[in-house]
Amino acid sequence: MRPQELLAEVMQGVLLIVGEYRGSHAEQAGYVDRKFGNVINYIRAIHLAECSWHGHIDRVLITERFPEEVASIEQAEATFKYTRGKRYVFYIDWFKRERGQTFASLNAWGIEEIEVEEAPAAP
Amino acid sequence: MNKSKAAFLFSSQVLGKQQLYLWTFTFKDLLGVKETRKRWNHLLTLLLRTWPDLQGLRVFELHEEHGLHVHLATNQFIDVNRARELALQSGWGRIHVTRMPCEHAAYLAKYLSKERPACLHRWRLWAGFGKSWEWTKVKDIVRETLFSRVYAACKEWKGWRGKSGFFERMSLARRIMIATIEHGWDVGRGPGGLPYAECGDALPAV
Repeated sequence: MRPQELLAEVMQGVLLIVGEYRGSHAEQAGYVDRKFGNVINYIRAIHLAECSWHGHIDRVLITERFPEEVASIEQAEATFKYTRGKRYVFYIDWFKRERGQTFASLNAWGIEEIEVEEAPAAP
Repeated sequence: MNKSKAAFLFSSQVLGKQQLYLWTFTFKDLLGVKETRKRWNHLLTLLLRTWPDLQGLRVFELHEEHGLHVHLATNQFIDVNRARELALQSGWGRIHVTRMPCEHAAYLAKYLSKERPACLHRWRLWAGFGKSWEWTKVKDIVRETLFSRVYAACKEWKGWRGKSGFFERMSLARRIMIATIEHGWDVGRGPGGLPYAECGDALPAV
């Protein structure tokens, strides 16, 4: 995604976070019923992004819930094709600020890399 | 999803093995939440007296315009006319019932996903009722996540007991969780796979 396209989306009011990717963790985040042994299982990832918040650098924990087709942590990890230190757009459903920490939930549009436009070299 | 909603979904799976009916009880007039709860307790007592084998799940929903009302999933068909009489006796207005496929039992859980209004703070948003069946309670739910594992390791390291300094504990566990993601540490361990107690200054401070 080019910065102009990003700007157009921001101006449209698309809910997104722009930040530097810092890492991800995939996990099986389920619930187990101790009484009957039933299980609700799903795979999710927590992405860490660094962005600016009220003038200082902050980290945002962005949770991604995978569809049922992603049934293992390995499959989820295979989707992490992001490079640490690069800037990405995280399309989110919601975000909240709780006790000094920002949390967000990734929506189906996912994460897109921002293409860095390099200035042409001087002759 | 939270533990309460998970417990409700497990309970609805147990109840949903049978034929289910979805009931909605509302009022003609807008009532305060405490008054509604009082009338619900009265109605439930009447219902269970009339149908002692009735089993089900109750969910409170605070509607934006119509105040608090009650949704029920029950396992047996009860005479609607008789139920209406009991509802009138306990001060309720309109009731509506429809048959519900077992797999839709979790439908009621959508009311538990809404943000809890301040007036329902510490309320039980859902509960089971009836004899001869056990519904899942929040205390029966076990959850294991990155955060809970980091918190458990911190608890062991710091020897936390009781509830004092809860928010500081949460803050420390969260910072260590962030460091775990960022540096790719093993969960519950610090740099180089060392236990937190041996990491010294390498761990984030509160």
